[in-house]
Amino acid sequence: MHSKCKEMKRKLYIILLLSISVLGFSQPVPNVEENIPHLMTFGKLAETSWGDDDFSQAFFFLIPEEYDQPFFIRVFDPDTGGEIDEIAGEWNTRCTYEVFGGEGVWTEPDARETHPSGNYKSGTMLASRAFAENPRYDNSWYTFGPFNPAQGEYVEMYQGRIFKIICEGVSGDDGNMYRYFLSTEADENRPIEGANAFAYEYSFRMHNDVNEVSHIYPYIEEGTVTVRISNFDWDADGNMVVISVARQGREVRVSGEDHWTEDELRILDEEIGTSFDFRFVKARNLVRNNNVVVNVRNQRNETLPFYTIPIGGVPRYRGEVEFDPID
Amino acid sequence: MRPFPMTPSIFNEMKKALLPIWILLLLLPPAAAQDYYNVRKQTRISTGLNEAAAVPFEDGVVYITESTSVGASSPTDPLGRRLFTIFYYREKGGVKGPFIDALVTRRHEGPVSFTSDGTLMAFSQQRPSAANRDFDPLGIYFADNVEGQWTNIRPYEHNDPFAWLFSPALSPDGRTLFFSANLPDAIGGFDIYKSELKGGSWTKPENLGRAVNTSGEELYPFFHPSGKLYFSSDGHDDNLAGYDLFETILLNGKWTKARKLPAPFNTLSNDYHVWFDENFKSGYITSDRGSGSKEIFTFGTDIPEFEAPEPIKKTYYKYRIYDRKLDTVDTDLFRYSWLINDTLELPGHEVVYRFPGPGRYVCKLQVYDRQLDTLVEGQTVKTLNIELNEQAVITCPDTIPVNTPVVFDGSETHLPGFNIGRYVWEFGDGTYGEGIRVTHAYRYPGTYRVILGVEERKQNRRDVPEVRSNFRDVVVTGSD
Repeated sequence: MHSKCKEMKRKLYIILLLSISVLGFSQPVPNVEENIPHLMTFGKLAETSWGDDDFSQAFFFLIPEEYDQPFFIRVFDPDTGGEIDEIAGEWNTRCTYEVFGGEGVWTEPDARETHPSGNYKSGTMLASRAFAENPRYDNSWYTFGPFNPAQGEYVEMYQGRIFKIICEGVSGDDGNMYRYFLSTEADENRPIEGANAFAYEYSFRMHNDVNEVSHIYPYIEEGTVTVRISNFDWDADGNMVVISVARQGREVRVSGEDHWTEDELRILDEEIGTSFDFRFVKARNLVRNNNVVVNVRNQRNETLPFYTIPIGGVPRYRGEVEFDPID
Repeated sequence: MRPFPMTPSIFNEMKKALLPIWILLLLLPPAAAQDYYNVRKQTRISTGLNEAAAVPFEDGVVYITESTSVGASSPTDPLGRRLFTIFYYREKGGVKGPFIDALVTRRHEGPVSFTSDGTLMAFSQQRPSAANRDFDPLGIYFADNVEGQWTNIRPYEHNDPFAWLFSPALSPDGRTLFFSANLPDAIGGFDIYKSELKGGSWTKPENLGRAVNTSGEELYPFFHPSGKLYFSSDGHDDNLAGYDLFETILLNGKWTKARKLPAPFNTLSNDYHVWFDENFKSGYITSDRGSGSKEIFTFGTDIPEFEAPEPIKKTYYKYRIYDRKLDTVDTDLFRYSWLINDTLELPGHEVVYRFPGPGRYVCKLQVYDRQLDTLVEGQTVKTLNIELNEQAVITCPDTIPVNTPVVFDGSETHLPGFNIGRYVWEFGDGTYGEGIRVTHAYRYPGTYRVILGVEERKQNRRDVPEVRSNFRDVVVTGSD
């Protein structure tokens, strides 16, 4: 009974936060505030030292339950070739995009894991398509859909329906750089009010401009005591600083070439139910085409989501000024 | 062995001869006069004969008198001296008469002393002794107050048939007895002795020693609840005016050297006895000032009562300013500073700053991001409001050496809208002062509570002015 109450409380809490914060219109993935140039998935024959640890990336789209119109998932530069993607020798990579809805698309535990294993492709496949090098889709959009919101998995906690898209590098060894947009239209990007997107592992490409600063926003759920921040193949390219409502700026360890590095933070009461801002500043000695992977787990080894629109907004540190009188 | 103390006539002659010297001495007073006391003769008691050693009891005063109107069968003793009898003057109705009829004899009685609860009385009385047929010794006796009746009269166990023990002074709890006696180990004629009640018996009288006693006479002790012992003496070095009043206190097991009380307690005449109330605001003096015979004077002050004074709240101007939540200070990534009212920048994540005065100060933590070469959008801000507390303010050192004059300053008193009539000081050592700035020297080490009372200016003579008061504690250091 007690745990039920707790769960209900947790859900209400998230609903409240979502209703407060997800009033935005932007469902580009990555989002504008994240300032991440592209998502990244390599062909499965690539060396992990190129930056992708598992050649797969899953993203979830949340459609608010009030929205009942068809929608589309658009992919920018879905092919692997041309000027944006990263070639290894010659273009030989095929990537699949698979859209899932229905029961278990999110509630299946494997779906929320960081590694593509088990029943991670849970739910009902609604659409799929493979892309190799294809100038037609280079530097342009491909649209999946229309989808009926009712095809998603209804999750009460979110008061909305969830869809999932998995990009996998099924062959080759090149790097596929792409973006998504959740749109009300097939041929243009028109956001859905109140929608959001999230992932449990973020695989992306860093900017090549050393002056660009990127962010991702993990959400600290109730019950979180500590978080373990893991990052892969950072190439020691600058630093990662954690900012929150209670943390003015705390640098965490970043990885070198082709390996994972972890750092752990104890969560402060004030941070529960808010987002962290992981800020990435590149090193001055430029590392070009740096691809990285980041995930966060709590003390129970459960993954924490990164929302493209940070829950509660971009966290701003607010200190507490003290005045101690001195004789 | 001297008889019961009478003012020697030779002293009167000497005093007249030495009058010019006394005037000179007055110009160099040994202690500051306590001119906040007003002294007046208790005319309802005075008879023109000798009255002395007044102490309050219930709604009146108990004293000794030579008055012939006492109803004693003979007004003189066998040597022709007038008898002293214990009298009681009741304020209500102005009635006076023997305090206890049963004590009225053909010998000397009194003075008396009571415990603070009025249940025990010590008194001196002359009684015949089989051991001494030459004269009737004066001894000390006790009586218990049982439902208004003084009973169980019993002698002090160290009464001496060959000595006179008189003018007892009980401590408030009745467990210590001081008295004057011409016991064999007396330094002079009469000395002050102390005896303590231990295990139901009184300890052997202890001579208080040369800090108190002299080759002259020490008479009429009075032990105040503060621990001060008052007495009269004609033997101390600077005492050229016959009997004067002195005080001493037991510090570290020793009685301090007797100090002469200032005016108005001492005069050029003989001053024999003093009794103070607990706060030193009123009491009785026995003196022959103005008449040549011992008379009882009352004294009081117009020092107002300080009801529940508050401790002074200090106004702080110097502060350590910091962000309580800032758990990680990374000076490689960030540069921290505090911005005061958008005008003054103090470097550091934690600063100490003395604000120039009362006012509102907006203090904002500024964080400069070294990597991004920009200021971090900050929300760490708070306003410090420094305002003066509405109170009477005492400015003085926290620690004061003994016997060192120190200025106590009330000029920083902040009571807007309060029309201040006068500043009144209570120093916690039984002395007072008046004025916005006063100088005071503490005579004994210890911790004292100084109270500054600020009295509203009266609009009409009959107004009862409001008094605001605050206190602070000072520590007086050093040896007496």
